Amino acid sequence: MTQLSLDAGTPVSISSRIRTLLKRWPVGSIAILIVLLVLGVFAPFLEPHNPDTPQIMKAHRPPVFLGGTWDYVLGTDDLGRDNLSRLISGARISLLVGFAVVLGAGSIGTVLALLAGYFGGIVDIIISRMTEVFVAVPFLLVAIAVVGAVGASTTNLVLTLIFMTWAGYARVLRAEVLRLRELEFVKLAKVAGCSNMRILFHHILPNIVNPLVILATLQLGATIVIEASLNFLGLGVPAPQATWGGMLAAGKNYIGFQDSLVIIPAIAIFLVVLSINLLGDWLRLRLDPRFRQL
Amino acid sequence: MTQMSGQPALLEVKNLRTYFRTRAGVAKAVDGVSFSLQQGRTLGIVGESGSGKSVTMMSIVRLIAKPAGRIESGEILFEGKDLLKLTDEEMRRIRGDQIAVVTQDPMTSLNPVYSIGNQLEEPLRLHQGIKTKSVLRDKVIAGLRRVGIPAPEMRVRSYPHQMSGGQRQRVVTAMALECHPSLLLCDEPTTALDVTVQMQVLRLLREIQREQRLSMIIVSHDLAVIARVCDDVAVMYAGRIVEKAGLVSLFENPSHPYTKALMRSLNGETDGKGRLHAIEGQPPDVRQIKRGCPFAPRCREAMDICTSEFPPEVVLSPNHTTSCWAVSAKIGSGPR
Repeated sequence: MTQLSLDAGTPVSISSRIRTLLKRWPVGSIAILIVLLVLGVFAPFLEPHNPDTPQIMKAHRPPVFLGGTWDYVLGTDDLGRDNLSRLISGARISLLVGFAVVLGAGSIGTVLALLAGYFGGIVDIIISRMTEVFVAVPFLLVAIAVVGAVGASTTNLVLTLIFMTWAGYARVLRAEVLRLRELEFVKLAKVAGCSNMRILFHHILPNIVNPLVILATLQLGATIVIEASLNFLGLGVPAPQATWGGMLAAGKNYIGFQDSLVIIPAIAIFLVVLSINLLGDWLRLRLDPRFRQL
Repeated sequence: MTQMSGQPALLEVKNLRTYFRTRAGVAKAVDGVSFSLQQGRTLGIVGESGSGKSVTMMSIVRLIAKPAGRIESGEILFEGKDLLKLTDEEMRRIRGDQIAVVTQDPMTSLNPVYSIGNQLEEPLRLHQGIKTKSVLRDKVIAGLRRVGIPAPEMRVRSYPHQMSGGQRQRVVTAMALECHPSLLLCDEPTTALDVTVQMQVLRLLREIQREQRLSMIIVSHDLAVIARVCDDVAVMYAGRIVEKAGLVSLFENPSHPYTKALMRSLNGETDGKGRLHAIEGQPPDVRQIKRGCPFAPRCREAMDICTSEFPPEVVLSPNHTTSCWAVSAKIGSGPR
């Protein structure tokens, strides 16, 4: 009996294994996002201090690496609130808004794309023109107008963002549905006696899941940036709730005096959005057949 | 097609017209096609690309791309019922149950995200209302075994990309046959397969057709395929049937100039300079067909009348008709 041992004589060193792992998986992104998720989900238990209670006597303490104390690791802001706690609390808001918006806009966009791509004709014309209009609208202006009209709240922020981002999904996925619609398995499903709804949701929808996942991931990053921008402008989640954008806005008055107030939330936004985008790109390489190496 | 004794035809198509409205005008893809098909017989429809053969087939199951395409007029009598008069719901119950379709491209005819077992269960669920998992599995496995898929118990769990083109075509055939249809429509069933596999699939279709006394229509541009499986042949050109005959009659005695030209290019005869026979010119654009016989501009035997009036059907024998002025002139019933 001979034994098959294909990799005998080629011991794989630990460092080269790690290198392959790093090449195959976006380890950095995933690690950062896991930290973000944990912080967001368990925020109330992880915050060392109450993020929203001002303590004027403790205002403007520097972070520990700039001569502060371990009691307030990232220092305190102008009202004496703990920066670390506010960062954690803000992570929760970013995640909540990000996921709610992606879920809402993704569902609306997907359903409209299915209808437009599959039925064609007048349905397609109406949905496609609507999509084009929404893609062309200057987003921030509309957001300012909407919040000005209905008032700033988390719900309004989410609804505005959904309202403004569904079109991106609809446009990309419609093209995919158009392609799938012409394939013969759809014709055969019709021949087999499937109803239109069954063809749409049972045969076509699973085939657009890959582009949908890629799109949703990239959109999550974009949503977090937009959410931060709106909060920066005071058009998002009302105070005193901590948000990364709000922290930036409050900190900008102290640039030169206490730079860490701006730099810390900026780094948080940067790292999270970068990680999400890298993950999205990696997903695209993995899932999009056009990039798949044969 | 063959107006033979007594027995009513399973399928009778009368004067079918299917038009597509495009920006460049109305494309008369099928323009007055009639034929009939007896129980247990196989009809082959041959023609070049764009001659309307696939559209004829898809008109029978009423799967014409709307809103551009429309069946303008005609009757499609299936077991005596006019399919064109049924509601969409009634039509849906017939499709996949009594009339099944095998499509051309095995690469795209199965949904890549479901296992083949899963896909084969669908028609059974929809038409026979079977819900029990184990019954479905058994039926699917039996179906796969019938079309010659080895180890069907294992294969039900495979996904389409794990199978070869020939095997997928067998799976598609199995799916078509599941509900024991009385009419099977095959749209270029072997065009996308390589030659050795083509033979196997054709043999399979032939066997199943004989076993189950199935009626079949096979659309192909390949006369060799037609010759191997069909009883009767209809030759289509620019949306019309120009010649209908029994297989032997057609091959031994082609009468329409287009059929003759097809045969010449098939036989591999050369023209003295060592080149294969080709038919001069191009098939006409079906959006711009003028009056008369559409083949006239390419026809060696064209006469004056050919460009002004479409020739009526001439009966050459009970089993052989053609639409050609030159032929009718020869046999004496001449232009009126």
